[in-house]
Amino acid sequence: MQCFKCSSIFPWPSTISDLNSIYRKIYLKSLRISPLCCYRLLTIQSDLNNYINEIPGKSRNSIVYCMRKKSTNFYYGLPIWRPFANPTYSASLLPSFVQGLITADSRKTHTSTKFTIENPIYVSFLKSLVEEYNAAINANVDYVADADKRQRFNFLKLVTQSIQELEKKQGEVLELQSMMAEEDKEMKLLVDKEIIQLKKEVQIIEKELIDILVGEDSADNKDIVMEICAGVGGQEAMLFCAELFLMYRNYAHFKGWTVTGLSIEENEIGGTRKAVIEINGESVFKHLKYEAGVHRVQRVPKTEKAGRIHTSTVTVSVLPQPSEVDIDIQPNELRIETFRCSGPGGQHVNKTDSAVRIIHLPTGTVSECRQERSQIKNKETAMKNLKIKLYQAILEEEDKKRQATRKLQIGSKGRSEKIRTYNFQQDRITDHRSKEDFSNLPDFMLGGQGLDDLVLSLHQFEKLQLLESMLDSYTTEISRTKTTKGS
Amino acid sequence: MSHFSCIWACKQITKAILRGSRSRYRSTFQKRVSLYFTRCYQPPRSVGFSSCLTESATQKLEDVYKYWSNKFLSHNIGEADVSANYIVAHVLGHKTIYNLDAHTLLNQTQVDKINELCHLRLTGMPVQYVLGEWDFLDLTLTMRPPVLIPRPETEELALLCIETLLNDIEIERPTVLEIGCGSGALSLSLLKKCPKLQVVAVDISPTACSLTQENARSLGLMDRICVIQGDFTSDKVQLELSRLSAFPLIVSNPPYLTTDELTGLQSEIKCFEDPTALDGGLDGLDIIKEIILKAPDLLMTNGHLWMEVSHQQPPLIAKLVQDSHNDICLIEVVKDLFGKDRICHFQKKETGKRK
Repeated sequence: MQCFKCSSIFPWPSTISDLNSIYRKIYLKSLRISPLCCYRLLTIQSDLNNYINEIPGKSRNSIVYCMRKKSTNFYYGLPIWRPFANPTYSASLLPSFVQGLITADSRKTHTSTKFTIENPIYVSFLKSLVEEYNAAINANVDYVADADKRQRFNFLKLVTQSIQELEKKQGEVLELQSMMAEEDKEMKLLVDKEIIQLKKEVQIIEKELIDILVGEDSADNKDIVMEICAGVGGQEAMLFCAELFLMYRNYAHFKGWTVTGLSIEENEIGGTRKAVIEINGESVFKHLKYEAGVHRVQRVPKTEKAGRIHTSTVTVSVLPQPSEVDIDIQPNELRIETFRCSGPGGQHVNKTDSAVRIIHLPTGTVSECRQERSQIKNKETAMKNLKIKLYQAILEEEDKKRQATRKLQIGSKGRSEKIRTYNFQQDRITDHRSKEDFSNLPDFMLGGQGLDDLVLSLHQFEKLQLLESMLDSYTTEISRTKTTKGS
Repeated sequence: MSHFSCIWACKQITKAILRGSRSRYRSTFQKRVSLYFTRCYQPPRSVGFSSCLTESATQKLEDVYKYWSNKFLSHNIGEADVSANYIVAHVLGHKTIYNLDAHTLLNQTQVDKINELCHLRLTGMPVQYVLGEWDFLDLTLTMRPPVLIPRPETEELALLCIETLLNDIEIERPTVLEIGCGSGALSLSLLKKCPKLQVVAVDISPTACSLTQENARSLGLMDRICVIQGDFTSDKVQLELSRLSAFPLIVSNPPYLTTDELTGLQSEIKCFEDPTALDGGLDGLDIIKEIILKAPDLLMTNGHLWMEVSHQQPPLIAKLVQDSHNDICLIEVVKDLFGKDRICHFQKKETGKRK
C-alpha cells in the first residue's frame, strides 16, 4: 500500500497488530499521510473489527485469510466515501496520535495584501458598493419583474452585510489599539491577545468577502463530459494521453465522483488515441474546468531509441452537461420532421419508420435520431441532443464574453494554447496560467493530492484575477469621472 | 437451389433421351432426379419463395439487410428498407441496426430466423406483428394479430394523461378507467409511470383482453390492473363499472374511422388489424358519442377525460358535447407531433347544467 502524499510503502495489514504497527510507523516518523491513505486504513480497520465481532471464536489465521481474500485491489479501487473526502472528519476517526499528521489542511493558500482593508483603493471600491446598495433600497425598483436587477440587488445585499461586519470588527480593533496607550502591563497583555484574535476574524471575513464578490459560476455544479485526445507527437502523444486519462480517473476517485460512459480508442502499444468519459458528482465542473486546453509533455519517450527529448501534446476538453432548466426552447422555433407527416395519421395508417429530425429555426441547428422504435423516444433523444448542441453554442458565447471582460489569461481553450507542461527530466509541472511550478511528477500523475493542490491554486488565482479586473474597472471609472468633472 | 437444379435435371434427361437410350446415362440421371426429389424437395412456403435462391448464401449483416430491403421493394412492401432494418436488428437482439457493425457475420440460425420473419413480412403482415413486439414509450409490448397496433399519436395521449395524473389529481391512490385497451399500451404505460395508480381496462374483444393481461404479467403490473371483457355500452358492463367508485380520469383510444374510410386503408391494416378496433360507424363517432354520454356518470367532479380522435372530428365533438347538455365540457384540443388536431381533453364541471 502506498501513500500518495509521502510515497512511503506500507505492508498490507491483515491483523489489528499490523495496523497498529503502521500507525506507530506513521507516528514515529511523523509521516504526513494523504486523506485517501487515511481512508484506506480506516476501511481496513473497520473490516478487521467486523471480522472479529462477527465470529468471536475465529482464529487469527482465518481472519488473515479473509483479509487477503479481499485483495489489495479492492482497497485500492475504493472510491472515497463522501464524509471521508472531508479530511477533518476522517482524521477524527483515526487514533489520536495520527490525527495531527494528515496533510490536507497544510495546503498552500494564496494571500494578497491587495484585497485587505489596508488598501485604500479597495476600501473605496467597497464603499461604492455600499452606496449602490443604499441607493438601490431607496430606488423602489420592481425586482420581481427584472431578474438582472434582482440578482444585482441580492449580490449587493450580501456584500453590504459582510462589509458592515468587517467594519464593526475593524472598529473594535481600532478601539482596542487606542486603549493600548494605557500603561498597565496585565491589561496590555490581555488587549494584545484580543487584538490578535480580532485580526484573525477580520482576515476570515475578508476571505469570505472575496468569495462573495467573485460569486459562483452558474455551471460550477454541473456534471461534465471530458474528452482527452492525443495531439502532436504520434505514439508518444498517445502514451501520454493514456497516462493523463488514468490521472483524471484517479482524481475522480480521489474526489468521490463517479466515472461513467467510457469510450476509449486504444492503439497497439498501450496508448490511447481518444478517451471520452462522463464524470458525475459534486461541483465537478468547478474543479475540472481548468483542465481544458493543451497539455504539453517533455520527456524521452519509450519509443525513442537515441535518447532525445521529445515534446508532444494532448488536448483535453471539458463540457458541462446541460440540465433541463438552462435552455428554454419555444415550440414555435422548432420544425419537427418525420416520415408520418402527410396523410390523416392516427388509426388511418400504420407506419413503422420512427426517425425524427428536429431543426431549431433561429440557429439552424439540426438534430436527428432514429435509434429507437418508438417515435416519441426518438423525439426525446433528438431534443436532448439539440439542447446539448445549443448549450454548447451558448457556453461558447458566454465564454467569449467572459474572456473579454475578465481579462483572464486562462485562454480561449483554443488548440494553439498550451496550459500546462509536464517535464519528466526536470521532475517539474508548470502551469502556464498561474505561472507556478510543482514538483514530484510521479505523485502528481496519480491524480491525488498533487493535482488537487494545483486545481485549488488555479481556483484561487482566477478569483484574484477577477477581483483585480473589478478593481481596475472601478479605478478607471473614477479617474474618468474626475477628468470629466475637471473639464 | 431447388427449382433451378430441377429444371437443369429435366433438361439433361430430355437431352439424354434425345441422344438415344444409352443405359449408362439414363441410370445416372434417373438416380440424380430421384435423389433430388427425395432429399431436396420442399413445397413452396409462401409467395415468391421460388426466387429466394441466394437468401442463405450470404452471411454478412450488410448483405442480408440489402438483399431483403431490395426484395421488399420489388414486392411492393411498404417501407421496404425500414422493415428489413427492424427484422434484422430484432433477430440480433437490437432495436435498430444503427448500433450494429455492418460487417457483423451472422450464423446460420440467425439467417434462418431472419428469412422466416421476412417471409412473413412478404405476405404483407405489419412489421409489429412479424416481430411479435413493439415499443410504446419505455415499454416493449407483445403484439399479436388482430389486436390494434398502438400508433405514435397514442404515445402522446399517454404522456398527456401522465401529466394530468401527476399534476392535477390529488387523490393518493387514483383509479383510472381505460375504454378499449387493445394491447394494453395506454394502461400499462400509465401504471409504469405512476406507482400508486390502479387501472380498470375494458375491451370488447377477448383476444385484446388476454393480450393486455399477458403484457401486464410480463411487465410485472398484474396486481394493479383489472381487465373487464365486454361491450362498454352494454348494461352489464355499465353496472359493473358503476359499482366501482367514481374515476378521476378516463382515457380512451376509441375506433374513430368512418365505415367508408375502412375500405381505403393500407392493406396491412385491412387484412390484419381487427376492424372493430377501427370502425366508428357511418360518421366515425359511434363509440365517441357513447363515451361522452356515459362519462359524466363514471367521472368524479372535476374528473378528466382524454380521448384520441380523428383529425376532422374535434368541431363535431364540440357540437356533440354542447347538444348533449350534460356536465361534461371540452376544454382543449391538443395537436399531435404531426400538427393534426388529435387529442381531446374533457372535464366534468361542478355545477350541473341539467339542473
